[in-house]
Amino acid sequence: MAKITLNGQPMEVPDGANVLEAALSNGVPLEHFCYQRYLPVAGNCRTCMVEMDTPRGPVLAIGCNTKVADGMVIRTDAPNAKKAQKTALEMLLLDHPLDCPVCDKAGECKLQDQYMQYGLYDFRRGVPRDFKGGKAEDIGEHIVLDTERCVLCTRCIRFVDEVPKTSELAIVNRGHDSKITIFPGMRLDNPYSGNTTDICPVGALTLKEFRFQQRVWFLKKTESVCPGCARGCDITVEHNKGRIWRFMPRENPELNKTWMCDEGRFSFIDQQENRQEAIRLGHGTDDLKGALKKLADILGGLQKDEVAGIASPYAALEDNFLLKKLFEKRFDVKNLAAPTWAKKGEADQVLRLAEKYPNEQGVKLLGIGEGDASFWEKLEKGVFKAVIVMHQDPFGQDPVRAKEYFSKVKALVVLTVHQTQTSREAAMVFPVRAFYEKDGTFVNATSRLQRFRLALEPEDPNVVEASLWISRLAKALGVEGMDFPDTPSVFNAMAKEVGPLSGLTFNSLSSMGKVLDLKPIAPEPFVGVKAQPNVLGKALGVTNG
Amino acid sequence: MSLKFKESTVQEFEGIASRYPVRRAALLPALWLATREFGWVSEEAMVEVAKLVGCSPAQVLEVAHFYTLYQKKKPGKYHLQVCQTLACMLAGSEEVKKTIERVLHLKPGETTPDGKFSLQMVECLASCHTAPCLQVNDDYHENLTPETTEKLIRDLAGK
Amino acid sequence: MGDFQPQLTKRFGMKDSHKLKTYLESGGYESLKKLFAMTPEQVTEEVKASGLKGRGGAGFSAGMKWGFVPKGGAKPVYLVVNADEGEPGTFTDRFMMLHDPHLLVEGIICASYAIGCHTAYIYVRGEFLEQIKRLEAAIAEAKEAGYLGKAIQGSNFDLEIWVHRGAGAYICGEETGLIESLEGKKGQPRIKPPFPAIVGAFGCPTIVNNVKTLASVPWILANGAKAYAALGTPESQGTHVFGISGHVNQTGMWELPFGMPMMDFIRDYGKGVKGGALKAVIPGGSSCPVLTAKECEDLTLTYESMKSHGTMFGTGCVTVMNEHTDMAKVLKNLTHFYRDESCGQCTPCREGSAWEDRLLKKVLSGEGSEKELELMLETCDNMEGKTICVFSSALAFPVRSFIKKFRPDFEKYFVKGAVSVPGAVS
Repeated sequence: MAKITLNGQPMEVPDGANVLEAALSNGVPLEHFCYQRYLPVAGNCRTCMVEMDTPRGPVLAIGCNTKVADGMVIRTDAPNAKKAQKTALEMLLLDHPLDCPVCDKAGECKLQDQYMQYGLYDFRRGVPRDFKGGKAEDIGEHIVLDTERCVLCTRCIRFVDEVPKTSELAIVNRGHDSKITIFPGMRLDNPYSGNTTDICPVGALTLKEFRFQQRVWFLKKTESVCPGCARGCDITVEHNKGRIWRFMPRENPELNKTWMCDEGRFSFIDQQENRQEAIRLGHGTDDLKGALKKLADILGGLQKDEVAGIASPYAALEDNFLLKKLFEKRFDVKNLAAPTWAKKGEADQVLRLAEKYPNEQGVKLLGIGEGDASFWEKLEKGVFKAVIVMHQDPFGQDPVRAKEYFSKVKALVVLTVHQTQTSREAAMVFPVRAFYEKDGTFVNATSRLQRFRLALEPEDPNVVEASLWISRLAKALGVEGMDFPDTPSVFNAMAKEVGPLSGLTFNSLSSMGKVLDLKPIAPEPFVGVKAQPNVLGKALGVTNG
Repeated sequence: MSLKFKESTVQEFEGIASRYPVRRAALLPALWLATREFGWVSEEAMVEVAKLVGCSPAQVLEVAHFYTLYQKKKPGKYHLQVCQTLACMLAGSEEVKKTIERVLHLKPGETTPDGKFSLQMVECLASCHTAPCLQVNDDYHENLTPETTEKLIRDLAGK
Repeated sequence: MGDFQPQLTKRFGMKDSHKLKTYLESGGYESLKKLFAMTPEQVTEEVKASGLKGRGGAGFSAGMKWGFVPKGGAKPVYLVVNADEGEPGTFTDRFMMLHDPHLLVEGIICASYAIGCHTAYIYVRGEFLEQIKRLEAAIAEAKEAGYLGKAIQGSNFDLEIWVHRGAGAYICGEETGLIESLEGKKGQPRIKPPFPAIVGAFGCPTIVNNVKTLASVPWILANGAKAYAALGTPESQGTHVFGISGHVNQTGMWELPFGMPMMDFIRDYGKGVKGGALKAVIPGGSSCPVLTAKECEDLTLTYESMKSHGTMFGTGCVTVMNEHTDMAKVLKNLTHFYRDESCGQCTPCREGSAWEDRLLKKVLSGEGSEKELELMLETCDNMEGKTICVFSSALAFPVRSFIKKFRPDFEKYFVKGAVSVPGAVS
C-alpha cells in the first residue's frame, strides 16, 4: 500500500493504482473521459488534471497516468487543477452539438455529468461552431455513429484494438479536423461491437436496439448474470414498466471486466418474446394449483421407476437441486439426467464459449449426469410413462433424436419459459419464470458461483420459478421436507448438502460471485489481452485468492 | 478494377520490412510503394497495403489521412505544392499562388480538367532563404516571382 | 570571435562533396580511430564535457541524454536521427544532408557506439527526396568501404543505418511523435513518462538526436571536448549553422561559433534589413517568442542570451521583419500553421489551436475586439503545460509574444472597415 495525501487527507492506496483511481475509489470526484480501467492509458482528454508537489514545486499532471507512490501529495481541488479541469471540459464542448434532447446518452453522458460538476461556465466561444459533419450513420449491425458528438477520447479504438482485436475504427486527419470513422464499405461487426457504445462517454456511438427507446433515468437496474453461455458474464437487467430495455455488462474485474458479447447483450429481445403463457393440460388449461393436483394424480398412479426427469444446464442450481431431491425422495434418482443436445455455438478467446447454456458446472456440481446407457434404453423403449422435462428443448435441439427417444412417453410434462418444439409436443406444459423473473444461482465454466436477481414479476401468478413448482408438486405428492418458500431457503439448504457450497448463504454472496473448488471446464477469458493490474478489484476485496 | 502489387514490389517490401523488428513499422514505406506503383493512395490501394503489412484497412486509413504527402485524391500529372508559411509569406507566396490560380484557373484542392495540374497549399518546406518555394511532385523550385512561376507552369503545360 | 575552422559546412561548395572520395580526402572518418580506442562511457563523457546541446531546438545536453540509456539491458538500443526539419524559418539540416551526408553517417557511428546501438534509423521528412537519395548513396558507399556493417574498421562494433521517409507532418519532429511514425503509426506524441531513453522505439531504449547534433560529434572526438568548448561562449559551446531569411538583403546560412551579436549577424551576414527599418525578429523558428527591434540591440546568438531576453535559441535560423510588416497577418500565418499541424490527440491543443486561429480570423475580418485578444491570451494559458507535448507551448509562445509586443497591429483591426496594411514587401 502507498501512503499518500489527497486533498489534505492522508490515505492508503494499493500499490500500482493511478491517482485517478485513488481519488475515485475514495469518494473524491475527478473528471475523466479517455481513461477506462481495462484499456491502455491514452491520457489525451486532459480532464483529470491534478496538482502534485514535486521538489521543483507544484506541477500539474494527469491523474490517470500517474502511479501512486509513498509520500505523494496530490490536490484535485487546487485552483490550478480546477481551472485546468474546467477549461479542458470547455474545449470539449466548444464544437459539440447540443443534441441532448434527441441523444440516447442523456442521463449517462460524461459531458453532461461533468459539466454540472466542473463546468457551469458562461458560454464564450466567440466564433461560429465548426462541426465535423456526419450524423446518425449506420456503421454496423447494432451501431449508429454520430461523428459530430465524438470527443476523440479513443476509447472505442483502443477497445477494438485490444479486446476483439478487429481494429475497424479509425480517427483520420490531424488536429481539429480529426474525426472518428470506419473504413468505407466496411462494418463495425465484431462480436463485441456493443461494448463500444457502453464506453463511449458521449452519444457518438449508440445502439440501434436502444435508439429512442427509453430515457435512462427511468430505467431500474437489477444485478444479474447472462445465461447466454457458460461464461456467465455479469450483467445488469435494465427495465421499466414491466419490460427489459437492455442488458448492460456489470463490472467484474475477475471475470468479464466491463465487457459482454453482442449475442448475450441483445438476447434481451428474444428472451421476452414467444413466452409460454398458459398452463396447458392436453387441450385444456388450468390454474397452477389445479394443474399440479392433476399431475400429482397421474404421477401417483405410476410406479416409482416409471417416472424420469430431464434436468438442465439452462436451469439454476436451485431448480436442478430440487428436481434431484424430488427424484431422490419420491422416484429414482438414477432416472434423472441432464443431457445436452444443443449444438455448440461460436466461441473465441475473448469471452464467448461454445456451450450456450449457463449452468453445466452447476449440474456437475450436483452430481447429475447425462444419463447412462440403461437410462436411454428405457426411455426409448417407453419404460418411462411420464417424463418431466425442465428448461430443455430436446425436440428443438435434435428433432430426429428426440422423436427416437421421447415418442413412447405417454405423459411428457414440460416446464418452459418459451414456446418450443418440445412444449408443442408435450402433454402438459407449465410456463415457468425466466431468469430475470426470479432469484437464483449459476456456476460458470471457470467454477464461479454467481447470483442473479429478480427484475420483473410476471403478471400471471401461475407462473412461478421451477424450484417453487417442484416444491409445490412435492407437497401435492405428499413428499416431506421440500417445502421451500423462496430461493434463498433452497440455496441455504443446498449449501448444507453440497460440499463446495458449505458455509455459504444466498444473501451473503458477493455481487461478483465466488470461485468454487470445482474443476473448470474452460480456460480464463481474454487470452492474449494485455492484463491490466487488477488494482481496483484488490481494493474492493475481490481477488478470490 | 482491382489493384494488386507487382510481385517484384512485394519482394521489395519484404526487404524493407526486414529492416524493422516489427512489421507494422514498414507501413509508411508501404504507402510510398503504393504511391509509386498506383500513382496515389486510393481506398483500394489502402486495402492492398493492409494485406501486405498485416494490419487492418482502418489502421492504414488513419495513417494515410494523417500525413499530407500521401495523395488521397488522384493528383494531376504535376502536383503543385506552394509553401505558404512565414518566410515564404514574407517573400510573396500569395503572389505565386495567385499566378497559378490565374494561369491555370485552379484553386487549392482542385485538379485541372485535363488532369495535368493539381494545386495544394503546404506548410514550411525548409526553403526559407530561397523563398518563395514551390514543390512540383518531388522537385523544389525556389526564389520564384510571378514571372518565373508563370514560365515554369507554361513550360510544364507544354510537356 | 577568434579563428575557427568550419566543421559542419566545411565541404559546402566542394565538388562532389557528398561522395565518399571527397569525404575521405578532406579528413572524413578520421574520428573513428579515436572512437574505437575509447570505451562507450568515455565517448559519452567526452561529448558531455564538450557542452554539445541538442541542435534541433530543445537545447538539452546531448551527452547527458546519451547517459540516460540503461546499461547492460537485454533490449536492443536504437538511435533515431531527427531529420524531420519542419520548424518554420529553418532550413539548415536540409543542406547538411545534401552536401555532407557522410558527416552525418560518421556522427551516427560515434553516437551509436556510445549508446550501444547497432541499428540506427534516419527519419527524413518526406519532401526531402534529394536528401534521402544522397543519404542512401552515402550509406551504401560507407558500407562497401567497411565504415558500416559488421566489425567496422576492424573493431568489434556492428552498425546498420536505414533511412525512413516521413510523409508530411510537422509533429513528427517531436521525438516521441517521430518514434510513433517510425513504428508505422500516426505521429502522435506519447505521454511521458516513460521517456524514450527507457522506453522508445519498439519498446526499447532509444535516443533521438538532431542532424547537426550528430554531425558535431566527429570533430569533438577528433579534437577533444576542451577544444570544442573553447569555441563559442561558456554556456553555448561550439559552432552552429545559423540561417537568416525574411526581410534581409542576403538570405543564407553560415557556420559560426556561438556568441555573435544578433545585430552584427543581421548587418554582416544578412547585409542589413531590406525595405525599411527593423521591426521584429523571430530568433530560431516560429515556436520562439518574437523579439522587437529594441530587444535585439543587446542580444547575442547564444542559448543564455536568448533565455534572458525571454525567448529561446531554438534552431538558430533567424527570420527578420521590417517596419512595413503587419504582425497580425504574420501571426495569422502562424496560427494557421499550428492549427494545420496539431496532431489532434489532446483536447487543449486540438481545440485550442483551432480556436486561436478562428479568433484571430475574426479579429482580422474587422469583427473582433479586445475580448478576442484577451480570450486568445487566456487560451494560451489554458493550453500550455496541460498537454501531452510542448506543441501547445510552440503555439502559445508566438501568440502571446506577438499580441503583447505588437498590440497596435491587432488593435487597428478593431475599428470596422480598417484598411489593412500589406503583409509583405516584395
